[in-house]
Amino acid sequence: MTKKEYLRKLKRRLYFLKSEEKRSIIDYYDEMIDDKIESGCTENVAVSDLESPKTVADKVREDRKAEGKSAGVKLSAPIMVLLIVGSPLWLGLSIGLFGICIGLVVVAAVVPIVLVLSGAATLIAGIIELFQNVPIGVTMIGSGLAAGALGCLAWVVLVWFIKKTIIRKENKIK
Amino acid sequence: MDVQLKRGVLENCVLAAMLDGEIYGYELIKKVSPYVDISESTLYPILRRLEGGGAVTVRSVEHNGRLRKYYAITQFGRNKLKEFLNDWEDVIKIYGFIKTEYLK
Repeated sequence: MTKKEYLRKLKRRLYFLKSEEKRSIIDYYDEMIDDKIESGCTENVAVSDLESPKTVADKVREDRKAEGKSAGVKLSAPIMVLLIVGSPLWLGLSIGLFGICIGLVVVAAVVPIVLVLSGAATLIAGIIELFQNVPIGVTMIGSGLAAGALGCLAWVVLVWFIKKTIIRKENKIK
Repeated sequence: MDVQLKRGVLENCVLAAMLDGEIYGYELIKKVSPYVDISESTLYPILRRLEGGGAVTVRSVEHNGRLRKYYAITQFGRNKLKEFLNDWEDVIKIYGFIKTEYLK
């Protein structure tokens, strides 16, 4: 085998390396063969003294494994970040978090509504009850009004809270 | 020889071969091979590792119309070699212990 043939075969075997690394190995063997020829070997002997391109490539692969490098092309940092960010795990987690937020908002909105509605219902029931049993009717009207007032208060607090957070965000954007 | 052990020994052989001055790959193999079996494919990763670790510097020199890489040992490489020799004394002691226990 000639030097040219050997290097061509080796290059093909090293397909899994980045071109820069491949170049470095090819240059190394190119120099080795030239130096052997210079020291008196024929080209044929110089090349046949070397391990076969397959053996060399296998050794390169083994060395990379031993050094903890992947056999293939290395992943660049942005790709790794993308892989982490794009992991399906995050999708599940963010959906879960989103669900919790929606739940909190719904609860916050439902509390005043429920209070006002149940207050109104108790008030109406209290008025009806007033015709049969005055003390109970008065108590019911009172508690209904109290529940309604609490509901209104909760609504005002909720609106104030939402306004405050949204306005603060808008100010930040400005 | 155990692979890990051989790797460590070879690295230091390669460093020792540079103590006389800078040396190129083929010359290095010729210098080391009477003592320890070393092929081109074994030498390559050792040189890369030594260079990457700062124990060796490399420069390309034009020779007969082509480029030849010359490797030189750095001060860090010399320290490494010294460390290896110091460690080796301990290894010999341990080896002696293992041998006497084994032959009992």
